[in-house]
Amino acid sequence: MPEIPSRFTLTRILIAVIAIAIYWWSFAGTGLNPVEIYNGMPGLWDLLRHMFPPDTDILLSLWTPFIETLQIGILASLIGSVIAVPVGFLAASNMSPKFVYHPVRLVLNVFRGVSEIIWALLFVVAVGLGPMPGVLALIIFCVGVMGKLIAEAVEAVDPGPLEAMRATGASGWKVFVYGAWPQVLPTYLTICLYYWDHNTRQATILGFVGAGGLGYTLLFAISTYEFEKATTAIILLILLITAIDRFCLFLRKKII
Amino acid sequence: MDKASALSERATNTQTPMIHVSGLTKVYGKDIQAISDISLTIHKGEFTVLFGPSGVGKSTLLRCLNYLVEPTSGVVAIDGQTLGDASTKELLSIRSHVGMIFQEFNLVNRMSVIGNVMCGHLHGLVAWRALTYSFTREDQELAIRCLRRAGLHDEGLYFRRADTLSGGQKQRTAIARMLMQEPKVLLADEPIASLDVKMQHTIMELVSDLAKKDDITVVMSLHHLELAKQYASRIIGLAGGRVAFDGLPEELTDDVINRVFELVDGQVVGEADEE
Amino acid sequence: MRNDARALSGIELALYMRRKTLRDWALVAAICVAVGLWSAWGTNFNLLALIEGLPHIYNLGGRMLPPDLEIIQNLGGPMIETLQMALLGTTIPIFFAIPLALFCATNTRRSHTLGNILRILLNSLRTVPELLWAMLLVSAVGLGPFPGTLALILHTTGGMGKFFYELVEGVDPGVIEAMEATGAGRFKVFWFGIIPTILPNLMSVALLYWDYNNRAATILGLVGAGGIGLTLTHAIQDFQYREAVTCLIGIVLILTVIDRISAAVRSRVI
Repeated sequence: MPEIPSRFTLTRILIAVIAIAIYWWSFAGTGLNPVEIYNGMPGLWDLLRHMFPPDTDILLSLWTPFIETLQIGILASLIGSVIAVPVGFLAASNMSPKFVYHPVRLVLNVFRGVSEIIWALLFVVAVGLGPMPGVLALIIFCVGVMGKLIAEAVEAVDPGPLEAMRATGASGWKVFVYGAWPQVLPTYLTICLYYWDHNTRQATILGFVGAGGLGYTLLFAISTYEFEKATTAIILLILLITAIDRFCLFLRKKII
Repeated sequence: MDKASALSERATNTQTPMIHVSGLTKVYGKDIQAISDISLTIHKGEFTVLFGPSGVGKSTLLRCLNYLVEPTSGVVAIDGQTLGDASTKELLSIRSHVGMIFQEFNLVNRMSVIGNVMCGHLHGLVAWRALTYSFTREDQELAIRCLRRAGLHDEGLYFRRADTLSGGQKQRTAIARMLMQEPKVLLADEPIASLDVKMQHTIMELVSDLAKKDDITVVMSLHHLELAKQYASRIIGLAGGRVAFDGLPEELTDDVINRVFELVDGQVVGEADEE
Repeated sequence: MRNDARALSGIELALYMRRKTLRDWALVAAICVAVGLWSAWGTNFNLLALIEGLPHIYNLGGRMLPPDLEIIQNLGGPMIETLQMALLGTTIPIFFAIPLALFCATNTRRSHTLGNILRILLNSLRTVPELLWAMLLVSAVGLGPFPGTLALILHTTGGMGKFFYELVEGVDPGVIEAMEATGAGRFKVFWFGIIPTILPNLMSVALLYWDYNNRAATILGLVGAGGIGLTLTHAIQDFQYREAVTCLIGIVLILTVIDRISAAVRSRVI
């Protein structure tokens, strides 16, 4: 009868102990304990009471910010996805020389590392309140993220056709367009759809710093404690994003 | 000995039939009739082969026998217990005595071989043990015995992931899992269709052997004519979702076959065209 | 020679696409341009304004640099708080998301009504941005990392739940049949047949969310929900831009480190 290996090896026990320690520390640090939760209950209940029933009077006035949010998402995604293609090309190690590839990658990391909100804040300072800083911030972020994903997709491409093309003397961008691009295209479209969804979602958040759309309306409502209005806006938000989700799913089935 | 007396002799050997099916019908959706009005009685120890081309309803019939598929109408009883009347708990209990093996093996790929085999005892596993994935020592020892009986003696194999095995080894693992249940009945859905020719014979031999030793009643669907004739004690031919032939293997002569089925290379591929 | 053949297929593919679907792509492009212009009009997108605004950014840059390095020792606490928020915000939802997946997935659920209601609930949880949850929770329970962590838990449960039930639905039905055939009840089938099969994917999703939540946790501070984001907000509110930049650099650093760690874990474990 062979010996069945025990599940309780020393390494596993050690890892378990360390994990428990980290969790204990985290619970303490974030204040997530039964006492705090108990203390917070009345506040939460109060909030819920004020949020329902939702205020339907303001539905009409929400139309404009709603559309604005949609537009911010669309515009940022369109411009961002177009710019991301050449940038992705430059950031691909099998397409561009080292002295180009490295700095571009670094720039892309900064674009995506600094979150959209910070960019939005910066642009609000630069061009004022309203939807435009939101669009700009999203474009920057979008280029950062999509650029990296496109670069990774290009690097994962089958090198055979590329080598053959280079052997015929084709220049860099031609190798990209005819060799790598057709293979990258399905991934690219998926990314585009995904980030359109993401951008519309983010467009609402950027509103919290003044960059337009439903987010700004929400910020206003919550700051003035008009929670019923906030609930209406939130429901609208959920409907908008769910609709876009479904639409993207539908498009994805048709294209791929 | 003619057919009637052969069957009736078998009938007097046991009181309650192991498997009793009456008026079984399964309709998918509104109008896709998988099986229509099938009635069978199978006795303990028989090795019954369901013979017919793909899509004729063999898989559906097999799955109705342990209610993996709920029939549209009709009665199924295993060892005297009617499945349709059983509560969920009773149904699970009945199933624990019915083993099943499949064409695609259906092992949990990321689990070890021995883990897969021990899953045969999931029914009896206590809740806290199930939650922590800890089988008992007895389960582990039984699993190893089952693996050995199924022909897997290399102990190094036992702790490997199931998807690292060859087809034949996978089916042996599935057979070991079945043995773990210590079943009264074995349902086998085209168990050799995904194996190479040599392994097909090996596995058929193994199943037949184990069934005799453990007195397991076997119901197996096949579309290989020679293997069916070689191992079955009774053949039920299906065509158009109905029973087209029911008798001893010897009686399945060539002209009977050609009347009902279309054969290519010793395997049935379709039903004979109606004139 | 083999390379040539494949090179041709790459070119052929491109040319084929150009010929056959050129019209389709032109149509799509036209729609995109039209919608884009409409959006640009609606958002008052104005490159001129951006150019006019550049001096403001330059100005801001002057006030932001060089970064104030003295406050680095004060950043340790908030940074750790952010990491802790992200850890709990990623791991606690797992305990909720797994049973939710069991109840929502079409191949494991007992009640279709309950399953669909839960799906809508999950969708709402994930659609509402965590920042919004945080804002609401801060007005309910006050400032600090507590509402922030709760916000992350709510949002992540929704997202993970959805990923998880989609994974459950993708499991080979044959494996599920085999488990059911041994007489195992619903939970055991789920626990022994489904979970081991999708475990690497579950971990992949969890890692994805850990990555995302670290980023999110830094932002939640903007609405008062703790972590280094809160420090950043205070700095901006006090017009201490140089401190703010240090915070920003700290944020980018943590995020890069987390990025590397999750890539390393991913390649080793999955």
